[in-house]
Amino acid sequence: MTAHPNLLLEHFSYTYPFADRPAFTDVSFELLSGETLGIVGPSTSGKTSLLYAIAGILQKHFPAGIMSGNILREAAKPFISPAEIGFVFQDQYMQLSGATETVEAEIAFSLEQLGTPPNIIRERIVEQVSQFHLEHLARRHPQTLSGGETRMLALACEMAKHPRCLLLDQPTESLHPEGINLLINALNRIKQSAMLIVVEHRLELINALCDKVLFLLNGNQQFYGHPSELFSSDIDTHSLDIPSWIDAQRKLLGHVETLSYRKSLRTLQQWHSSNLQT
Amino acid sequence: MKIKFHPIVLIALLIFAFITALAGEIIHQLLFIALLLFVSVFLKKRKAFWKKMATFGIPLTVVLIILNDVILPPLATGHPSQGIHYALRFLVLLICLLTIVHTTTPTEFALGLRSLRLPPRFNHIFLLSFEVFDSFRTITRNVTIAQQLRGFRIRRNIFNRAKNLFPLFFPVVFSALSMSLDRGIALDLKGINSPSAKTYLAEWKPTILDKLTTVFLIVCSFLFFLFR
Amino acid sequence: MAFVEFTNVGFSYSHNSPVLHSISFSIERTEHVMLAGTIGAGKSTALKLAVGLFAPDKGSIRVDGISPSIPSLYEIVKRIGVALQNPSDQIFCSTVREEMLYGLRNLGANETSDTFQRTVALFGFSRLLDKHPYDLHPAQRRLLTIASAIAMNTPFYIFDEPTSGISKPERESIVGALHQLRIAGKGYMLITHDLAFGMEHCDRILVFNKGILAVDESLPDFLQRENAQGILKKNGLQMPIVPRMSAQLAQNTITAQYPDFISQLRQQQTSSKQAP
Ligand SMILES: Nc1ncnc2c1ncn2[C@@H]1O[C@H](COP(=O)(O)OP(=O)(O)OP(=O)(O)O)[C@@H](O)[C@H]1O
Ligand SMILES: [Mg+2]
Repeated sequence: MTAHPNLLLEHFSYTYPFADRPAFTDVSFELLSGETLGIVGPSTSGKTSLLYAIAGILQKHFPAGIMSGNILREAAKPFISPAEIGFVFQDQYMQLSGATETVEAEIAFSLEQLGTPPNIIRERIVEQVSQFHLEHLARRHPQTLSGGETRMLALACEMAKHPRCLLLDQPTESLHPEGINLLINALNRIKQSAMLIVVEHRLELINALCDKVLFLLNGNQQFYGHPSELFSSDIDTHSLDIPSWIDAQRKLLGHVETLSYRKSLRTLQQWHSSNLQT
Repeated sequence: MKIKFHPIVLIALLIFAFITALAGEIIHQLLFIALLLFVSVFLKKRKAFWKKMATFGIPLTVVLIILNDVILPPLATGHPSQGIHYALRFLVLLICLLTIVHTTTPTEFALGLRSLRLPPRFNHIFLLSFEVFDSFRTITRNVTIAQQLRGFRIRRNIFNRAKNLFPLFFPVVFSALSMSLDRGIALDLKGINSPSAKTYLAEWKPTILDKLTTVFLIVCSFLFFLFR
Repeated sequence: MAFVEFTNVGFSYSHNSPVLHSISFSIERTEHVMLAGTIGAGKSTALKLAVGLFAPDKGSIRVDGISPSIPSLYEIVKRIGVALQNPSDQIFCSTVREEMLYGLRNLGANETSDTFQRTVALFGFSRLLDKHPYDLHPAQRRLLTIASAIAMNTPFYIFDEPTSGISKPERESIVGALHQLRIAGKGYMLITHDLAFGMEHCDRILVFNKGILAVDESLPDFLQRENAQGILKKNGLQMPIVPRMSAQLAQNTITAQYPDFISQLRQQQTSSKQAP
């Protein structure tokens, strides 16, 4: 692996035009191809804007905003070309092109725009349809899919590009556990050859996937490091969702250190009755 | 019978309708209306076509005539009936739009246009205008449902319906625009503006007949415009 | 008579294969029910049928004795407050205040109404009231749809995916709101993929699998079943970690030592890392 990061942000800040406070300030991190970065933090803390900046969207569509610090991508390109980037929006409905009549055509759409040869497009369609179990939907109109099915389609469309940089904004929303597993498998598959950045509230996923995690709160970088250190560090994480295993420890065991096992079991039962029966 | 025109024919038809409405004589307009009404008999969605004519087109035409001939003072334009003059213009455009809307779907339209291999910029503009058009439809439908879900009673009466639509107008325009901003970003990321030559899995090229009709319509519009 | 009653309901969207096959269940006015199921199982469709946006092909639906349909929609929404799955589909006013008042006004109340003030306080919207809903964060927009439904002060609510796309602060608002509904003796149904959330706030579980009602049971009973985990798994779902561990704890003999227990916890943690 090369020592040069493929993506480097140094004290990077951005303020939208007419906004009274920056979307995010003083963000610094570096990422190599093959690495995965997780971004966590409550809503309105600037996570999506940061993804937009990395994808070059802010520079292109909101050029009047104020930007400071450095953002360095490979070969110092101002924007990543659409062929190299995959972007899964938080709102899956935004992702549909609106110009196609079948799920297959929707997967092909972006590849067609990028000039991919038709035989490769066909391969990619087959690959994505099987990867996300879309077989039974392949000939359906994209606008008649359910919420979760639309999310799967959005993921398939972006992954079909085989992007070198894949940005995902809360990709697990409206998916059921099996769908999340499909997503994780798919991400693990392209992980070796791409750079992944995931905004996610579910810390289990961050823990399972990411090499690094960045915690944003009100636009400020609170933490940047290995996921396992996030909860052991002394930063204030009360604004984050509690990972389910810690939640379980708290709810089931209460003050287990000082209690006997028998007593903790009683706490457990009490917890159950108070939560499930009232 | 299913009539299916390539989008370029429809666009040419729209141009022709505009010219006829603005520059044509009453007799031309009548002929044009008659021709389109004849075509509409063969439309697959002719029911929807006539329903819209009956609930919207014809009442509005009558209102236009009454408004101009009975209520407003006559203008010195030399036309025997100001109202009929306006009403015909309106009808020409309306029937043409309805025919177009009922012969194609936005996605078919987009496919046809894409297959013309226009430069990317055109492609983008077309797609985005579709987005706006399409989102108008979906947003109007969704908002109507959302309003009903919060206790708004839709009345079956046309005038009340028009009244209901009015407060709908700004939110719909606003959200369609803000949505198309987001969609614009999404389409951009999908490579709409990519300079590389595009490839196509499915194509819909204009047939010779389509091309001839287009040329004919354009030439006619041109002549009309010159010799009005 | 039950409040919401589905009897052998079958439904399909135009020309497609059936989405719901002969679904029957009934829910009381004060019940708290979760509806889970894989994507495309027909959950949102059931919601749309329950309020009358679509009519069933087979079977019948009754809400408080009324058969839901477009003409009777007004009567239905006086009884059921609804938040749909996609917030952008249902926000249409130009300020947060207008949005929250819209339903109330149609039901004949106004801004000074008690429920409006209470809902605003409950969701902490007082500083956002004059904002345009499109300037809100998507998570706040989801909250707004729920708040607008609750502001209508109906006896029953159905929320489609209330916790999707939200972070902890919004989640806490929703938890608070659900708690208030419970105290006020109102019922609700949560359509959700977030089983942990659903199980904490509901007393009964319904599971759809490809249009079939696979589970319909009170939650404590269901969780006590030995193969509860297996049943969920069979239907494409996964038991959340808290009940799963508590089930394991309950199975352990009382003599198990605390260290064993902790090591079990650690195992759980690592396996959840591999496959959350
Ligand atoms: N307008 C429509 N036309 C045709 N099929 C539809 C339409 N809307 C939904 N469907 C199909 O009906 C099935 C059930 O959809 P529904 O939206 O009820 O699923 P759901 O359980 O809510 O799923 P999710 O968790 O993904 O929201 C899906 O397979 C979906 O593709
Ligand atoms: Mg749904």
